[in-house]
Amino acid sequence: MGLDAAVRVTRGTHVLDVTFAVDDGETVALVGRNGAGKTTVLEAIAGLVPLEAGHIELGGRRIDALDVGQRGIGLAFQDGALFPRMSVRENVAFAARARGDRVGPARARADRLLAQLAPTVAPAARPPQLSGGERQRVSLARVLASEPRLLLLDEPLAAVDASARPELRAVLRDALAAFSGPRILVTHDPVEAMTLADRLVLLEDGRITQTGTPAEVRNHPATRYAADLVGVNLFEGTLEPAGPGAGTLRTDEGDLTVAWPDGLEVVSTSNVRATVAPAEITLHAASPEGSSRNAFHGKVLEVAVTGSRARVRVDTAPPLVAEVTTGSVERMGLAPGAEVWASCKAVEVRLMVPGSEPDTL
Amino acid sequence: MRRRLPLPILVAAIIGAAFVVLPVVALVARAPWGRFGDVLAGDGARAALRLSLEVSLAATVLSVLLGVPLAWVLARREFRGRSVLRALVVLPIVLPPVVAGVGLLAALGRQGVVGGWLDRAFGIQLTFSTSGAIIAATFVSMPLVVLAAEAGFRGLDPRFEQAAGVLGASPAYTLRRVVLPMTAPQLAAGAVLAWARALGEFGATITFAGNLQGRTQTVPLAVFQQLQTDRGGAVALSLVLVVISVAVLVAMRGHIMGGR
Repeated sequence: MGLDAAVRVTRGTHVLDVTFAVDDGETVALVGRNGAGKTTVLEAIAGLVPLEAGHIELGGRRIDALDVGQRGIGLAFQDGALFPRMSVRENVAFAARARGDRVGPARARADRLLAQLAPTVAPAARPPQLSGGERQRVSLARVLASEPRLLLLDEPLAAVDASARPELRAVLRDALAAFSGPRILVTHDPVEAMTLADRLVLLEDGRITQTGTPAEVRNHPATRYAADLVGVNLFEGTLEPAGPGAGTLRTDEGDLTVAWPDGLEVVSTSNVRATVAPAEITLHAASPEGSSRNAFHGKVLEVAVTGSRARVRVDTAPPLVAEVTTGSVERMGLAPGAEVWASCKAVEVRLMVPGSEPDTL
Repeated sequence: MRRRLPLPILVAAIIGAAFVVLPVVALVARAPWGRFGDVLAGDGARAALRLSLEVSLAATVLSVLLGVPLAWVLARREFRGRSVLRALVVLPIVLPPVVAGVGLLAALGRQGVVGGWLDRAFGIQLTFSTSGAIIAATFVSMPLVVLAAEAGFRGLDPRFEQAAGVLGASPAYTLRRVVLPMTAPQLAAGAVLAWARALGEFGATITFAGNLQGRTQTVPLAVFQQLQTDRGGAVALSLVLVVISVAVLVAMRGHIMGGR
């Protein structure tokens, strides 16, 4: 069952032609640069943009000939598209009313969803008074109030302050997990894609260039874009203090030395996420000397060449992907099985601490 | 530092301002303050004032009821001849009112294209009736509602309607709960302008509906008639319209004049 979509839309000189499927209970992240056609895919599925060719099947039923309001689709617009002259509560109740609920049950449903998704937002507040994060929460509540069979989220974190992102990401993750139908998330943020989605669909110039789990795409990026965007090293673990200005991120696969974030209380913190760009990882033939606080010894597992660059996967603890030039690959004789050292500076590890920290990516 | 204005510009500006202000000042200067109450209490004036109020309000309601849906269609639907229709709809704004009246006679008069049928089938005669005065006023004021409302609808981000549609709301429900509340300021501005225009309507009314005291003689028509016999009375009635117009301008200054 789930969603089966074949979408062909021409807009000016841009041709969008994609075919993909999403299972019930699966989250697919549609990832691509601005202008790649991500939002158009959502709009076509929702019926806001007519299909030139193709089909959309939801739960085994063709829905592409149905009217926009009859498709059973929940689309959360990028900025929320909340009605500015209605209160937060009326916005959410609107969805239930549009579905046919009476006023009383519609309000009750709105209150229940708001208490669950936006407990800190005053139900009588107007959308223009809300922060970006609050707007997204209300938008999500409104979409869920219409009881959709398919959930489409368009860049839910794009209009949100960096400091509010980790918390909203957790809300999104719970909401996605609680939704039993297929769900599609449009994003250009690799952290968002990799932490929220079961599978990635990469979109470039209106075409799908790669589909796979986050691990598959990270390990085998099919294009330069995939490598640049999704190919970050991602870690999750407990951050512990380790001397002046430094900390250790303990993950199940190994430890990383990191710079202690300014302003963060010096105590052990769990559920900390960290990323290191592959280009920031240096490979050495011998044990490196210098200022790098992280140096790991391991064997090369794989070398993937894309253009003039190569992505080298090493079985260090934690496992890493480094990006080097093809010149370095030849000079160092990098091939599966070769022994190398991989290093990166503590300050190159970007931390995301739940609740407090700047979210840099 | 403010630079001095060139003299010719300053002179032209002063003359221009005086030209616009002088007639109003003259009305005040020549007003028969002593018998103001008598004039307004007279039968003709009272009937004209009441009729003007009725006709202009009825015309405003009709203009909104017909003009807003028309504006919606013009703003949100694409069809062949849309730009032609838009031009025709606003034509009454630039059309000489007398021509509008002649057109209305040709269409709705007793021998008119539709009027003849109305007369034969239902015995309805619009000419020389209050209904006719309302129709004449609606004809000239509805385009103002259409213009203001269409501008409001076009200025509204279509995403709000899309969001409502995806949530399952019918177009009618979306219009009522989302579009109309969000464009209320423009709709109100259009309605007030239409009302002011209907209140001042003269040419189309006198041509199509005639000048019958108590039935079609609104204040502008009464002023015109009184001018032949009682200049002071005409001035007094005119001042009433000036006061109403100024009040409208003051109430609408935010919308029409961009504030300040």
